[in-house]
Amino acid sequence: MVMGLFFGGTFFSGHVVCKITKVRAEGVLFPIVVGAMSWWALMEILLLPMTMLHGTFEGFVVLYSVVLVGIFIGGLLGWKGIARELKIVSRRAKEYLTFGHVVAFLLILYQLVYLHHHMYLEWDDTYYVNLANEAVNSNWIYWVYPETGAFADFDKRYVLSLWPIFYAWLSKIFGVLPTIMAHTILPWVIIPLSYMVYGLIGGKLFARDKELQGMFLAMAVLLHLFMSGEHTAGLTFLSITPWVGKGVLATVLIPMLFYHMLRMIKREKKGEWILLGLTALGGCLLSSMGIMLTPVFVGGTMLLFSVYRKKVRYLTHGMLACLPCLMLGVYYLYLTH
Amino acid sequence: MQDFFEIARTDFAAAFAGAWLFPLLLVSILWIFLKEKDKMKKLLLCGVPLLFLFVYWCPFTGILFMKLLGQNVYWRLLWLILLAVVIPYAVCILLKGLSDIQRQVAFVVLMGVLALAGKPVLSKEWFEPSTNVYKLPQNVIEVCELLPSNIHALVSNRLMPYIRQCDPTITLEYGRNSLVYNGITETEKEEQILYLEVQKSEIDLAVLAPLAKKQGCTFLVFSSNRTYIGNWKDYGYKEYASTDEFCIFVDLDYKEGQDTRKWEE
Repeated sequence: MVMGLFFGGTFFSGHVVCKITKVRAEGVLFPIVVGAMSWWALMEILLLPMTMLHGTFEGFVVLYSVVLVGIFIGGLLGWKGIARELKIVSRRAKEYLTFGHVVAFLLILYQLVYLHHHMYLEWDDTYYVNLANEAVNSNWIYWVYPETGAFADFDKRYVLSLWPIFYAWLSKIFGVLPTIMAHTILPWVIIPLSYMVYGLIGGKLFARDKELQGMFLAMAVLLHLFMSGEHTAGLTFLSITPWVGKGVLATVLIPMLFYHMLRMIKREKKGEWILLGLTALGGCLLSSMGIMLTPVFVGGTMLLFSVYRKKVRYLTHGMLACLPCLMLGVYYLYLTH
Repeated sequence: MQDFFEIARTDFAAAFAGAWLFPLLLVSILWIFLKEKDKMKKLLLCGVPLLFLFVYWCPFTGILFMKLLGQNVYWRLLWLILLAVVIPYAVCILLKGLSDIQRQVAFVVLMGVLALAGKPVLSKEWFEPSTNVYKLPQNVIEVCELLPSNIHALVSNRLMPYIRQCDPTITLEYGRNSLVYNGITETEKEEQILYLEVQKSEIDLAVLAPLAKKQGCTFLVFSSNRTYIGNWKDYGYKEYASTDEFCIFVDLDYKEGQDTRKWEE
């Protein structure tokens, strides 16, 4: 049910966002990932002022849900376009039954089933997961010290990136304890979402060769299953702690930024920059590291684009897309230094 | 400057040690540089990873990012190098020129090479079988099933990180921030005296019980292997329940269903 709500909801939301930005919502995966980024960006916009103004968690749940339902209905209104797109997808579905896709699917399934039957004890959950638990239990967003629940607390480091409230919201809707939502259900959402992004990247890199797309995806999945160094390296987060904001940042958001860069190579429409901006804002929700790393990634890449194509607008547009991150980044430094 | 290189080197080794993924990344970048004809793709898949490697190792940018991100998490800058895009892309370029069967055989072989270049994440080293839907240690669940809701408790450090994940209506006397009290030998602060007393293998109830009562700890949960100096009932507590690993004690004044949660402004 959670997967149905998330992927169904983001699919229709993605269509609405694509329509507004005048970017073609091609296929099934693209609207889903655009929708997911939009959900997180919207959440950051609503959650930050509500946290600062001592809003209640239930108030947030109602407001966020109502806005998302509105967007969802907006998506349904465009059903003709969606049906047309789905028709194209279903016609081409057989093309994706390649050896590489089958291997990728089996590897993803193995990862999900293994994680479903095993647990990894994350020391930091006592803060982050309890932050979600506390929101549902006390109706306060962030103002209670989550490790003991016994006193008021306001840790400036995390206030701008309250990712646990996202799964607290899902928990509230489905009536499940956030601990169960994070550890048992969320991996079924985040892991497929991450590989959808890699699927899109493969689609852009090998537009005309479906078999290579599948092989690219299978290898991307494999690299998430075989690590180097310590277990906290970026890719391994997807298996170990897919419910942690930093993990989602490393394995969903940064690859998504790369995907935006790939799209920028081909077409440089205003809508593409807006979508990049939404992704950047979504990254702010995930982790304070998202606030910092997103402008570094976009800025660095756009600097190279600008130098190579001798057009400074790549850099300026990129920085404009990251403006919310930059503003929050300055505020973060003000709060923490 | 020396500190910077020391931190950068240590973090880099921690991120890539024990596997061949970094050399594989460098070979992939070189291969893409030689074989890719699309200059923008070359820029994205060779230039961008090299740029972030440079940003990571260059002392000027490095020291700046260490200040911005924090020294302890400087290694996260390495997340910007997308291993799972660059390496598969390089391999796919290799596969591109092969015919159907050759391609599939080469793909399987190269998948094997990639697997051997790293070490498995889904292993007993990190994971253990889960026995409950919370994905928490079973001994925590057993204790939580015995404890009532809406109470204030002082629990063993072994339970402390997990109890509220199982039942968030319970408030705890100590969180992880109290671990800094470990090692303190002399103190006059009651909070620290109480914490240090419960860490002992033989707990003096004359010290523990008055302080626990004063802090409003209705329930006390300690490892079963602890021994006690004194009689619990003499100090206003009694045994409430036990599991294989833990003993639970309750304040004699506690009434079933009472809300004893703690809240300090």
